[in-house]
Amino acid sequence: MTDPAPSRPAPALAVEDVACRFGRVQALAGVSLTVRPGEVMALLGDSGCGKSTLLRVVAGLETPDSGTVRLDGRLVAGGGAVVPPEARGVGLMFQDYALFPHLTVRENIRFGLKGQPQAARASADELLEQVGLAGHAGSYPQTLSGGEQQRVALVRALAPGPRLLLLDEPFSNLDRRMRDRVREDTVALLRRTGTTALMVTHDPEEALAVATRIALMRRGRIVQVATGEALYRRPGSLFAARFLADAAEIPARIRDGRAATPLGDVPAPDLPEDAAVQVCLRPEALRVGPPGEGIAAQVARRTFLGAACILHLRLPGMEGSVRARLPDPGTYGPGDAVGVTLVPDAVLVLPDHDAG
Amino acid sequence: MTRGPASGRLVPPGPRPAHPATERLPAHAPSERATGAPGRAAAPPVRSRPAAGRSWASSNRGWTLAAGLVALLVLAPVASLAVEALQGSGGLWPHLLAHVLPPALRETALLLAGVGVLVVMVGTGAAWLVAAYEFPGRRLLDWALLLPLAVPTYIGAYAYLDLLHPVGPVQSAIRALLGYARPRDLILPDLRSLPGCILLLGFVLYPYVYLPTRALFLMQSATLVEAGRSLGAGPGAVFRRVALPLARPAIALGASLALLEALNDIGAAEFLGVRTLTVSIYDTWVNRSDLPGAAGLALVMLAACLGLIAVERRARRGRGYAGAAQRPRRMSRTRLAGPAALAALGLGLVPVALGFLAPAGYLAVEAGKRLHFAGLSGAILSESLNTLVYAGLATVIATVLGLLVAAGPRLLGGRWHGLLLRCATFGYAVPGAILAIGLLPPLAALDGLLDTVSRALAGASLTAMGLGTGAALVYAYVVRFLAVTAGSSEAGLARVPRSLGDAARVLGRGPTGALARVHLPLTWPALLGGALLVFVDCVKELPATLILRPLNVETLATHLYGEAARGTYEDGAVAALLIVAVGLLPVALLLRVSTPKA
Repeated sequence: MTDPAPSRPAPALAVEDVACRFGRVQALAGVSLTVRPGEVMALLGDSGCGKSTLLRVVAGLETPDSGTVRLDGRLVAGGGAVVPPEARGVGLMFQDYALFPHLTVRENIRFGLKGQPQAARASADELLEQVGLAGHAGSYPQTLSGGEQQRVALVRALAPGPRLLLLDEPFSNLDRRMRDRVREDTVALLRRTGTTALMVTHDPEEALAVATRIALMRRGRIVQVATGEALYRRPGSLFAARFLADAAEIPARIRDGRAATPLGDVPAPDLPEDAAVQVCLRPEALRVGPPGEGIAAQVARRTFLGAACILHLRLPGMEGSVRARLPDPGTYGPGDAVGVTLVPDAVLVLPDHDAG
Repeated sequence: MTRGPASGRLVPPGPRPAHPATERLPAHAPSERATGAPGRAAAPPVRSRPAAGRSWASSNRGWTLAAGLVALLVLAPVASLAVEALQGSGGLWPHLLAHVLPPALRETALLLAGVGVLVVMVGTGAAWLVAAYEFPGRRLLDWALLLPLAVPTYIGAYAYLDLLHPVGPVQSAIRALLGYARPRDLILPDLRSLPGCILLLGFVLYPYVYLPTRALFLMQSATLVEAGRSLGAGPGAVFRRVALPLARPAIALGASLALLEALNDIGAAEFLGVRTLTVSIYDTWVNRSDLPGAAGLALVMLAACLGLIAVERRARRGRGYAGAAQRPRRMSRTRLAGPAALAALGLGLVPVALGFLAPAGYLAVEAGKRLHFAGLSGAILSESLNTLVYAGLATVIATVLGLLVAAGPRLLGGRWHGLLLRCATFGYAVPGAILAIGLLPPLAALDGLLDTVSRALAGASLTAMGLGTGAALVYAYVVRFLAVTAGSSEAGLARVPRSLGDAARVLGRGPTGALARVHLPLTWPALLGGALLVFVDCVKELPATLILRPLNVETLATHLYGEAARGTYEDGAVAALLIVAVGLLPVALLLRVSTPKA
């Protein structure tokens, strides 16, 4: 970022205890969330968890049943305030881009500039040039490729200079190869324009790649808000751990501050005695060595990933197989005997009550 | 990805040299509050939208109010009917029950049953013929089968009465062929009878069934038909066991529309001497000046219409078109050759000939004779102008109001707007005669009130502002056909993805701005189509026009009615031909709309 986030008293967005119900569906059940200026926050969750509803509430497209929404400290929803979407000064990039098919790319981008000075148009054109679409200004959006449409949608949302940009699954309509590239470009543009952003996604990898902080949602509530790394390394719940990465889970009980597994005891000093826990073994939590080191295991299957590989290991005293990630293609193949030790920092011990 | 990075457009913005504008960009960001950040405070706050917030609630409320007013305008005549019928003398209902209703109900029921069977048979058969078979002339038949839509029932009756008159061309030709000298030597069945009326209405109204059923057959997934064939069903069995049940919603919809038209008809039934409810209502009002009696009959008829619609809804229940429309691959047509192809063409041409070619051809010949003999009369010109003015006004108003009520639920949401929309489109279920009778009492009251006020204020009497100026007629047209414009607006708006409207809102437009800048540009073809249909319907409308037109003002339709009622055949053919010509306009449109894209 060229410009360090100024120390403002008010957060860019403050959502407080917002609830929203559609008929019998409780889409949001008391959500509180704060987005700091300059931050890119990801709302991560499964479909139907309420993340898109929260985005629409912030944009003013839905009215919450209770709770308040503040933008830069100004009350825009709840507490008697009903500020319509057009007066909120937020940008929204839609999942389907919602480009106006009857307007050219340039007209689309200038749509939000009504009543703004001439300079705004010039900078909108400049933005278009920056994303490499100046040559398409006169084209109609449906003649562009998916990636180009995505960039037009982004520029259109950014052109009026919103104080907060909302992105609804901005990359989900792109194929995988394109996605990484477009994602990087988008993040770069957000940084350069100093835009505060709130992005909805169901893809943890995407949230980790883009966001400065992630708010994990589940069933209309926010489960955990943390930086991507903290969320990944220290998930607050079994749900969060499962959402961020696949892991083999070994049920256990806490005895003397430790959880026993077939691979050895794991320290869990913060959990109460006799608590039911799941010990989560992500692929990076197992170190594989020659037989004799640690616990004896057998390679059942090997998945080659190019630079790395995954070994599916069969361990004595455990049903099914456990996956271990090797940082290199390795030399082990199916049927080989190996020795397995735990990487203590990467093992997660989490209370087994809120999984679902 | 349709364009690779190699195309050079996918340039990541990062490494480019920073543009001056890039540095300016953050200047857009400041809010109304002073941010205090030194780099940002210098630039003027770009975003200022103070007005939108204030107008939000009021524009929302205004919209609801307007839509509510429209719904009220539509429901007023029906309410007034009920009031009028209840206010009638104590002897009203016994009299109606004993002497008027039984024959009228019997005739109407028989007529509806006959017309219903006929339109379903002809309409579905014709639709299957052009959808399932390929033969020379099929493409022609495809659209020609729609042509009878251009012939209003009373014009069909008018033409056939003369065509089949004992001294008319058809009977004369038959006599000449068989060697009879005088009309009384060969008595052919008279068209002026219930069966005659059924045949006439059936062959003019079958396109209402043909149109949706054909569209449904065309949309139907080829795989369903192929599955039927592969399971051992022949073409006939596929039609009976697969295509027909699947088409049931379309058939029900079409049949109910055709029957509503038959109920609405006043000219054909009267010309052919069938005393239906509609004729009884008109007769009770015009010839006996018995408004409560007419209102009572109208209520009965309204019940019949609503019953019809309920039956149609029931028949359609649980059967969506959508499921069948998902598959893009269409059913392939069975190719016919030789005698079979000829038979198919001949069979398909029968409804076209009976429903359009014969009456329209007759009208063209007669109109040509008349124009050659007497030239274009001034009366026809002024009537055309009247027709144009009333129909045009009603079309403009109905289009605007239709958009208003249809846009409410889309733009603002809420249960209220959906309910108001349904109320506002209730008029399509109310035949013109009922509507007109229902409008008389409130309009008379309004005229009286205006007159009183005018006398009190200006000392001059102000007679019949509503009934005298044609405002009442325009009102009736709007109420009757609002469903058409609202329906087409609704269909058009439904095709605009919701996110487009949301995007316009987030980009700073209010509900009205979004409608003007996004929805209208995307839906105007649908709106125009709806407006065209309404215009043509207004031109063709007879019963309400007869009752509500200002004194001494004739339209093309009422002129024709007058001549047919008097038995004089002067300019009638010219007027009828003009109406049919206008009626041809939407046929082309309907065909385009109803043909699914390949």
